[in-house]
Amino acid sequence: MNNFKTALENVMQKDIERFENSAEHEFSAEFEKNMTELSRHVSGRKRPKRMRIGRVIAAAAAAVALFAAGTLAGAVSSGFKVVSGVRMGLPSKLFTAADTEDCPSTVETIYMLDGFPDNQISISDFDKNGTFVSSMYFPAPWKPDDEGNMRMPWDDELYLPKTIHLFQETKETFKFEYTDMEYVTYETLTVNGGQAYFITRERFYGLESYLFWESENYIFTLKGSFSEERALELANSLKVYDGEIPFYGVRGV
Amino acid sequence: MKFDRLYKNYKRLMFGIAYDILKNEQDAEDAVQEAFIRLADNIDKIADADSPQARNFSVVVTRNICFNMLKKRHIEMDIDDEVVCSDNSAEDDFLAAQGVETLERALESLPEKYRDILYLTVYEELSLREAAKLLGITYENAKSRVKRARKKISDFLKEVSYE
Repeated sequence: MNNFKTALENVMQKDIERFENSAEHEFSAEFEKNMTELSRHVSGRKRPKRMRIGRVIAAAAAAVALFAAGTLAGAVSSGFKVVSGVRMGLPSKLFTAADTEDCPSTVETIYMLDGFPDNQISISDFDKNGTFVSSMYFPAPWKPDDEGNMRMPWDDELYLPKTIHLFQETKETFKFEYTDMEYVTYETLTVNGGQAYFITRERFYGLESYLFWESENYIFTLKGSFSEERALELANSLKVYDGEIPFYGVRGV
Repeated sequence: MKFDRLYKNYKRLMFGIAYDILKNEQDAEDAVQEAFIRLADNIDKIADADSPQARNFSVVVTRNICFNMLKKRHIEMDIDDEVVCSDNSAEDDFLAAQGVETLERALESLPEKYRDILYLTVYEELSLREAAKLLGITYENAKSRVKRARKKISDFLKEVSYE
């Protein structure tokens, strides 16, 4: 089979040569952030261990907050309210700012779920191709690393189960069309009378859970590593938060 | 560190491949991100991040993730049939008798997903289970792809030999 191996190698090389001189692409800040987190995970530095379920539930309860943010450049589908505000950012240029003077805030309403400590919240939001706004929350402020870059805290207590996202999009978002469905299970549920989906997905770091639910104005997503029962309990505890935000990071396109 | 080297070396190449397939920058980024997660999960199979093996794994994984994304968009894609059972020994003899250039032509006639499974199982000598894990497909699916790829190559070569 030596000839066959040589042929395979040659064909692979030809495939690659087509792309070796591809134009440089400026990856989004979200992509770079995710890759940094993945690198830290793979390197074993403060490697997040797979948490026992009891601990995960406790962590998730302490971790979730939610905010309604956003501004869309007019392209929000029917059925969901467009939140007024100022669209952030400069055309075709990614930037980050931790100061709302540099970048107008789009936050209008912050939601909280039961169990979230008032003094432990950080928020980032970003306008993705002008079509939706997603928001992420962590249970503690980002901290500077050795080079002074702000990083998401990275240990067992502060890893994945602490994020929650808000999507302002159509119900088509629910389809998870880009997810490898071989590893996904989902169930249809109800939260406060609105349709909801509970989705679990096996990832290399453990089980991810998502609860998507439809409210009057938004589709909310709770992301973490929790049971269906706990996810519903958290979703039903949603309430408007009027406390101070100690850290607010903004990312715009 | 191995993963950081992989990221630095191949993110541009992987994006180029993903964009070529998906024709959308955001989707291509999503695919590249998913590919790096898959590579991280299989990092033990990569001996050296600067090696052709690492580069080829990055390409194969990216391509297959893109094909899965396309499939989920319901864009026309080949659907893997059920496992095609056959005895490989006669095909192996037939393949072994072919020249490199002829085999290259046969491989180039294959859809990339079939080339990729052959690359992993024949060139890299991964087991079907290892290849399936890397590609994010089931063992049965991987087995089906290998069988189908071999059959397509044999058919191509037989057709050429009749010309």
